[in-house]
Amino acid sequence: MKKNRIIAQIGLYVVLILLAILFLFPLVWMVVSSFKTEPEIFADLKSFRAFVPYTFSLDNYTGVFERIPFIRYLLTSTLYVSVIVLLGLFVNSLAAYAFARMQFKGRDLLFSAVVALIIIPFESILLPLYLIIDEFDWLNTYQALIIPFIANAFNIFMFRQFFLNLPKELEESARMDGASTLRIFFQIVIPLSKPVFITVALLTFITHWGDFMWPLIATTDDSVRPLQVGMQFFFHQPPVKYGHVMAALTMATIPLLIIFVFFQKYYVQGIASAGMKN
Amino acid sequence: MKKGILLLFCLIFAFSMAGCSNDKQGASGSEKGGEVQLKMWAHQGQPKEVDFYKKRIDEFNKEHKGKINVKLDIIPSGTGHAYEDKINAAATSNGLPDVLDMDGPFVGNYAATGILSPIDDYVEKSDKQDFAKSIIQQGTYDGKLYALGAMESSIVVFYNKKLLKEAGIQAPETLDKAWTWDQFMEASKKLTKGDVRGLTMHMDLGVGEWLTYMGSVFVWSNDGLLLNKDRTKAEGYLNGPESVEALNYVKGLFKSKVVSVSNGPADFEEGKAAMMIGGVWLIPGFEDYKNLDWGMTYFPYSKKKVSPSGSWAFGVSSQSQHPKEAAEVVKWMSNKDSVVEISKITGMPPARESAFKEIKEYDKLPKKVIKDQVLNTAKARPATPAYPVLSAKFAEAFQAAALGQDVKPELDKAAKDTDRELQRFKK
Amino acid sequence: MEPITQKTNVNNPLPTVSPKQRKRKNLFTSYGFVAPAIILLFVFLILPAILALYFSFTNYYLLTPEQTKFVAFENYKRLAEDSLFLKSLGNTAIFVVIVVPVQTLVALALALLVNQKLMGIKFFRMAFFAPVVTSMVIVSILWTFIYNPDNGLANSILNIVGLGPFQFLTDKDQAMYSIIFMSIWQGAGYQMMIFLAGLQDIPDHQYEAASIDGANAWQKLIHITIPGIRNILAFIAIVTMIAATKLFIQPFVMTQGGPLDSTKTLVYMVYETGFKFRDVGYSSAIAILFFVIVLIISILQRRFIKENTE
Repeated sequence: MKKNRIIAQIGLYVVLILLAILFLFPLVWMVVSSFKTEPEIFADLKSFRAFVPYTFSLDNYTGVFERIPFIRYLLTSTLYVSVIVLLGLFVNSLAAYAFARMQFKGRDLLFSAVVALIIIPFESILLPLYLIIDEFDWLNTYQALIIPFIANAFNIFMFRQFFLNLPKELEESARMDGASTLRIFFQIVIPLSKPVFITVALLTFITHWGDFMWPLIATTDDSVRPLQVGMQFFFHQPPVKYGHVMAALTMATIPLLIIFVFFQKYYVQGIASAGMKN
Repeated sequence: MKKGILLLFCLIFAFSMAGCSNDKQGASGSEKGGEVQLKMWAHQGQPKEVDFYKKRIDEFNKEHKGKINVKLDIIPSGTGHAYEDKINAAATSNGLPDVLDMDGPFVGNYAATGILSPIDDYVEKSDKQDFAKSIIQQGTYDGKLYALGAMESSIVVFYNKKLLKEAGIQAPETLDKAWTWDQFMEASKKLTKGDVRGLTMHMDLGVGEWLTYMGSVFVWSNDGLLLNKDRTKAEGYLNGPESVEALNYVKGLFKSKVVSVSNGPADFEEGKAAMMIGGVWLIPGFEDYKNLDWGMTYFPYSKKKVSPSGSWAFGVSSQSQHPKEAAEVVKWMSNKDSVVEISKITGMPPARESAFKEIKEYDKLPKKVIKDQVLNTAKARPATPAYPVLSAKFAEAFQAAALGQDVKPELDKAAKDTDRELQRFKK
Repeated sequence: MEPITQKTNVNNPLPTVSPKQRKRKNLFTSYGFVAPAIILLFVFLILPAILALYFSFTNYYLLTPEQTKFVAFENYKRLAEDSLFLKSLGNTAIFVVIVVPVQTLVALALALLVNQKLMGIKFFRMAFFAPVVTSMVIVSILWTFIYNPDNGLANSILNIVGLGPFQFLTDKDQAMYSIIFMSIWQGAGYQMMIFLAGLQDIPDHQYEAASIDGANAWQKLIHITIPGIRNILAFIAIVTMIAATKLFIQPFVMTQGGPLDSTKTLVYMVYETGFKFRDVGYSSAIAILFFVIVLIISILQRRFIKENTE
């Protein structure tokens, strides 16, 4: 019996390791190749050496910095996504709180309308949105990347669900003490709602970090170009050098992987609770 | 408290709107103390090219101090049409600069949609005649001149000297001995051995301008046209018998496996392909490959000797308040000094005949090939407002031929789509 | 829901504000709370949606908006005859029909694997999740290299197993499947995490009870695990399906819709027609149709799930 279990465990490990190889080999190849010269990368393709870091040259990295403003891309992405997250948390939670706790004319109708908006795929409003942003003279500005994405129907929905499940007693007693609604919201509701704030923040961050289509058309200047679009430009910019591209990709990936390792718990909780909520 | 909330929102909005609205590029042609202030956009090419633009504009500003001052913005062009997208956006929101740089075949579209102003009035006839014919051709739409460039460009056949010698093949060294299609096919077949292919055509660049730039030459050389002479119709031309035959020749090259649709980006440089149909802009990159001993020969022909042409050119935007001064900039950027200098820096062929005389290396092989082509056989892509569609559809048909598809139906489709687009611009 | 504002408290009346004033003030506050979100949603979501519908009945050309004319159903008629549109529709359908079930099953299998209490299991969870952290653009660039038929890792590796060589992205019959494989590879980790959370919520005693009853692993899976995560399964199916209909980045980066339009998708066409060809009218018609398709899918799915969960 015990022997069987050991065999089963070994089998399980074999499967897990094979799968881990399948999931990791491209990333390993990417990192290892970023330290090799162009001829080395091509020569190693047909052998196991493709995954062996036998040289450690930083030439590709200096090459990337000479050719593109990589740091600028990275900062742009970090900045605009963070602003979307922060403003979004504020605007959406505020609206959700009103929908959850306040009485006003047309509330239910308005809320149903908001929920209905969830279904509109962004891709179908791409062109008109581009023209509207153009009308505001916002093309090639941070506003274009940020402002259309602050309000989010789905996030309002998530917040409202959470607020509805909060016990009302605390808020009511604060009100009796004469606290204003805004104060109640900031001092009582928000501290109680940390989980939903973290979840929404993470989901928003992940979504917009991966933004591609919109920044692709809304920005044409290097000064406001996010990382994803910058990477795709670099990939197609002649001369295409595998080593340079690998170095750029590695730099674009590693910070995120590190963040992930540190914040793994929240990250996973965030994703999971997004799943549960529905 | 309610005031507090309102104030907060106002602040957020005011902040986010005012925050970075400094990026408005347009509002063309202001004046400051009698000095005309102009704005100019240039695409981000190779670093050396960009440095040249900056330096040359500095010199212009010095020379015209007190009269004209130009502010140059370098706009990245990336893979495809990001630079064009920017021009589109600026055109609709009145944000165009006074002077702009554009890829040759887009001149027609910009002229037809009113983005450019003609510059005939500012360019002297004698000066015009010094330009390569193809440069004037690409800058002209509806009989009016809209753009002038400093650089020409061309596509040639590069070859690996060692591999050709081994196969006992002598590449043509004068234009009148240029390979015919059949001879070219023959040579490619002979050079295809084992892991080495006879030819690479850079299919790795994807379905884009490259395929049209290179591919249209096959059509022209076979006495075909992409559009009729008035450039109002594709039906019967783009899908005419000459065009079909031309793409069938291309299809044959791929079918006989002398060239592959899945070539790597540097097959020629690495010795995996004996010959390459490639742009002259690739020459500086050869330096990285010490083992490569390369030569250059002419684009092969069928009935007529034709070679590709066209490069970035400068024009005056219709939104400029100072078209005369803006035209000065265009002329400056394409005068003989500019042309000689940029071509020395980038290795691209000059756009003027007189400039060729200044640069000695064009008198002997291998660069003589480029000069012969630019001055004798270069043909510009058609200046038509439907160019974006024409180019994309032709590139797709070219790729389809390379992949072994039936040529005729593909070209029929391309002609139909192009004609539909041309319809839009009929007056 | 109980309106808070009407609650009166005998012990602690608010003497300074009359009920009427208070009510007005509260109304103001409520609208103040929802206003920013509603205004933003209106300007950047509702308004563009209405404009898309409107443009789809015009011949709007990006560079000459002043010449726009109303063309009634012209653009929609053109859709019906446009073989490229039908092809894009088909390509999108192939992607959706394969990716949704396969990715969901792969994710579930991975989740079951990493739900074991084993040494180093955290490492494996991270390994499967790593491609998710890497963004889609980056993954697409990387796999374009891997899929290169002559200079790529994929053929080298398959060669060891005695397969290939394949043409991958340069073959019209293989390109879409290559993109599908990569997309599943990239995305499965995400759903795995959601499943994992669901699996961990199933109480251990259910399994213990089943063990006592002599159930084997398969029976436990069918009778405890699957019912336990049924809602999550439904959620994942919906989300994956809607995301899959939006396929754009992979073909844009890897194949530009080729070869021979074999990876052109609906969203790709919206982009290409609108921005590259500047045909806002036609592009809007495609966008509206795309919206209708997403709408139909969601409605059907919701109905299906309701029937199956109630």
